[in-house]
Amino acid sequence: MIMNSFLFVFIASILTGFIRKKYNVLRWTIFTFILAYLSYMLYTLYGYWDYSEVYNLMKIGGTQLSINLKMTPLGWFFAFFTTVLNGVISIFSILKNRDEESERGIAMLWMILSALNIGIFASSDFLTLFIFWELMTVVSYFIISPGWTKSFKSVNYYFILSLIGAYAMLTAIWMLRADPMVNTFDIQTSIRQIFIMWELERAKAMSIIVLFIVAFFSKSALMPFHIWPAEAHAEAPDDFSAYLSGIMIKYGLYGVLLVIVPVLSFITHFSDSTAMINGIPVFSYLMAWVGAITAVVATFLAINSNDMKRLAAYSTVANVGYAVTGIFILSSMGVAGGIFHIVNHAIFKSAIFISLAAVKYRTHEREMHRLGGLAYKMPITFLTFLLGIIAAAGIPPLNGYASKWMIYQSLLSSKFPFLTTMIFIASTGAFMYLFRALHSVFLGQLPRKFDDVREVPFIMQLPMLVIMGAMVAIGIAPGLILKPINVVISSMGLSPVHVTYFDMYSLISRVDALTVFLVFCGSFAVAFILYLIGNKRNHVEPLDNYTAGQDPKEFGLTREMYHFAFKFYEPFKEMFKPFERINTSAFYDSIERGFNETGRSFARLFRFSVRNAVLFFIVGIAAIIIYGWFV
Amino acid sequence: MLLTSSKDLKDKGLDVVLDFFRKKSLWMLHYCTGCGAIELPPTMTSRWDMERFGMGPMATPRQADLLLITGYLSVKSLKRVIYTYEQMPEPKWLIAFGSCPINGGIYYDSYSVINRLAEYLPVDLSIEGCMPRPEAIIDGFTKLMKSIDKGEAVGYKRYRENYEWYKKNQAEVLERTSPVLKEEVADETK
Amino acid sequence: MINTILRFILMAVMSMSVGLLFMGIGRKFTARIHRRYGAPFYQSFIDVIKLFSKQSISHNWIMDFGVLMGLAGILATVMFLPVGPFNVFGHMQGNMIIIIYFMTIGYLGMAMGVAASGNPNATIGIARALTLMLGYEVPFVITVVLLIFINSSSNLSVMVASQAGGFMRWNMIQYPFAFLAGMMALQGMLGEQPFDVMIAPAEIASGPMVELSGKLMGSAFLQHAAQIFLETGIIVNMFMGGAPNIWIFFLKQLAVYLVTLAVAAIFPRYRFEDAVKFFWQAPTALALIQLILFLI
Repeated sequence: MIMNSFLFVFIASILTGFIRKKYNVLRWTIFTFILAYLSYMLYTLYGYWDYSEVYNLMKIGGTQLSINLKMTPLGWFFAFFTTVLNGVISIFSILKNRDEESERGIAMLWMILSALNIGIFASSDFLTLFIFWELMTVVSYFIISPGWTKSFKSVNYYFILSLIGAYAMLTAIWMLRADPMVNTFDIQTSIRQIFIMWELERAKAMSIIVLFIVAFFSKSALMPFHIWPAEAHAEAPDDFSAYLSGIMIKYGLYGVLLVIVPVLSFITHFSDSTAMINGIPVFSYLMAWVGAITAVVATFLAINSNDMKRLAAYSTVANVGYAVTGIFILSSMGVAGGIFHIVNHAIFKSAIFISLAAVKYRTHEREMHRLGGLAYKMPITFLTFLLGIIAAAGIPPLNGYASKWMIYQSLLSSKFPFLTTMIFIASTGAFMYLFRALHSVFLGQLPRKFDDVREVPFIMQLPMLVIMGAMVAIGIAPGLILKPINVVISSMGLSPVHVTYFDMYSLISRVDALTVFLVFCGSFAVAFILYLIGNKRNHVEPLDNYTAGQDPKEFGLTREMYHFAFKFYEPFKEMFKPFERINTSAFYDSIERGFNETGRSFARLFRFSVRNAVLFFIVGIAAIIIYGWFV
Repeated sequence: MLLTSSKDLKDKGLDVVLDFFRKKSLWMLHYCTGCGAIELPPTMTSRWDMERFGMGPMATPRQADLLLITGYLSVKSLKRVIYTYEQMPEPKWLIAFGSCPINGGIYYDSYSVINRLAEYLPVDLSIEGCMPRPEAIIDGFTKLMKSIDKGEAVGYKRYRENYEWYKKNQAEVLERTSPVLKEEVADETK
Repeated sequence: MINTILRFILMAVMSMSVGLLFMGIGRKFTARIHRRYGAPFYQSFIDVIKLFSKQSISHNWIMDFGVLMGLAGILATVMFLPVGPFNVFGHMQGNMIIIIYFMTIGYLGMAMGVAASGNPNATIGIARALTLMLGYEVPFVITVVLLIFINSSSNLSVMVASQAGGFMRWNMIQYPFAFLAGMMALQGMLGEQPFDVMIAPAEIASGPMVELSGKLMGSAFLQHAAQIFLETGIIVNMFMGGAPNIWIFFLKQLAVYLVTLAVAAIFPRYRFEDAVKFFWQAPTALALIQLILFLI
């Protein structure tokens, strides 16, 4: 049934490629319906954990290559929530792409990508996983660079780092297959075999695990692969950025949950010869540190960005860092907190990117310092962005704080003080850049040329309202998401987290989410009563401001000049000047230059010239003489 | 002061009670217009402490109740002072310091200084002297507080009611501040 | 249910009035340090009532909404603070992580409201305040994490209970480095000299408050008062053993606040990047030393 739906989606996508540009809205509406159909299909598959499909492809040298699809709780959870979120985002795309030039191919490719998305989560076999993984990378590469002509370099980072990861994964898969004890592609069996290999041949198991980690970390942009989202997400079409940042970057985390976490759990429970710290293996602790350092570094890089989509992309990297730190603590609280943070982050990052896309749709401007004051004209967009920011900073009563609270509880219960401190620092820094984005785009002064900007049409407001409602609902009742997560982590062998619909419990404290929300509403009521008691308020226009007594019209002060947005945190950036020598993208650039130089000098050898011919001749004769001498 | 009769409450409304609080915490704008401002720092600091009356300096006109015109007002400063006075929210009071705002002082025959501030802005209290010592300033403040309590310091209402008269006077004088070379006037459509 | 609502209103009123009282006493204290008389101790109440009776200006609805959200955030945070034996919620009071996160909504609301006024002075003030926040949060967080580890609970009332039994059992005496780091962080949190670069009247025209007037500024005052109450309350609970009844709690809070003011009266102002660098050196080192001493 799953594969049938895939074939249906492929055929539908090719057919929509033939719709003419005048009927763009029709094409994207078909996309929404396809996503609704996929969500419904997944919904009917809930609970059938033994369902599996096998399609034999071919036999190569005695090895049977086949596509195996199976629904596990983990895979079902990820597939369902990504497809539903994709559906909500696609409602926004219906009108946004009405006049776009190059999006005919984008619709087709995005439909295929939605099907591949489910395929990754439904594979029970390493080979299937790898096929869908590679297809997803290639298809998304073509979506990110529309027109195939602009900004080739920025998407190159994405493609090459993904390829490095994919080949690392392929090497690990073949190492597993070639080992006589394992001899299979099946994921569940391989996990058990890796654990057995850990006990017997420690080095080989370690290298397999490290190769998998390279693959998954490069896809999820953790250190040292953290630079590609800033380029790729910023250059992608705006609604696709929401999909990239919210959903596609999580594939690496899915891989970690699928392969690495069960192996490490086995090692924790059953191994006697592994070095442990506070109850988890040292290797897991190091990986948690990688996550924490990614969070802090990405936060600081976001504070220094000037472009709003770049800032949001670095914020994504930081949040993935939090989730990874939680997951690698290997307690049920940590893993549940990590998965919960993945869901929450997808929701609030979509809110942020959709409001930025709405702003770009109306103003056609992307630089933050040229915008400003748009909240007065586009209130619903502003509210969505504001709630997205409140959730991203982890402030109650929206959904961000629930997952962050769980990650903190897991770190504190397992007694890791320095990791907690790093996550706290990253969290505080998040507040800095989020406020910058809010102020530069939506508050401050409205430039002259945007005086007649209106709110986006209602169809585009609908997904914003839905996402806002989701954030508030999950903030009040975190049990809505945590109860399905309990099913997921029970299937992974961890004990479920103690939650009800409105409360969360941990080993050292508890949180009553409904009470938190009601307390906030009550305080707002008290503040509002005080506001009503006061004297009346007069409305003045924006340029009638404190300008030290001078009438602004007299000294040529325009609203654009009065808006403080450029180089917002410049002194902060100056503080880190000594650290600017440690630059990861410069490091990658130097590798690229090295390869270029080597290739060019090698190519020079093959150019037709007398000197090269003589060189080859001499080298050939020498080789023949040496060969003849020794053989 | 707080003990009011019901007749007072009916006449003036809640202002009777609120004036008690307003007079006890006057915030002045920290804007020194002329040379008379040199007497303000001694008044504010330890020797003749102004803060015991609840008065204190504030940075912007939006936050302040009290505008002090300390010393002479050149026509250029008059323009800025009018803009500042109109930016202050009501209720607000204006005190004229020194002899210059009262009748021109020692600059009475200058082409660039105004002679009578009361023609351009509503003055609630004048403190004469050139310049008045801190004891005189504090005496003036206490007189202002008494007149606020009696409900007599209503310069802002006078300004609102006689707006056209004030604006006519201001326009006559402010013509002298327009720039001679017309190209220097800023153009907002640029 | 009615009980909780009554306690809620009582806590809101108590935090704001006690905060205003502390501000007034603080002004008198600073004045005596300057060898002058100073305003009466109830001056802040009069200031707030005067502000609410003044007309205000506003540029747009976001300004009103933001300032309201700021006050609401701080009031919501205060609800979770245990004041001696009095607390609003029986089971959830004092959850440190919730308190730290709720404080930010007060900040965010205020920042949003003043940024909507359109004045670049306000935004510069907010940018400086946020950068400074990154500075003082580091030693503060290390101190909080240390105390959570010591008590194996992130609940303030548990921390208070573990300090029972006399003066020598207070965390102030047992973990002095952490106490010093916490006091320095408190100086930054309250915005007192030498870390008051956020207000800086002479530099940036009082920073965020530049366009606030009337009842909006009154709300900002009340927010500052509640913030004083909250933060000194946190320090008293974490380091000075709470209190058996409310009045001793207020006395201890007042003592902490007056120490802060005494330091503030004699220092000039740090530039904010120097302030951030200072926070990352001295207080962080103190807190880390204490953490390592505890772990060993």
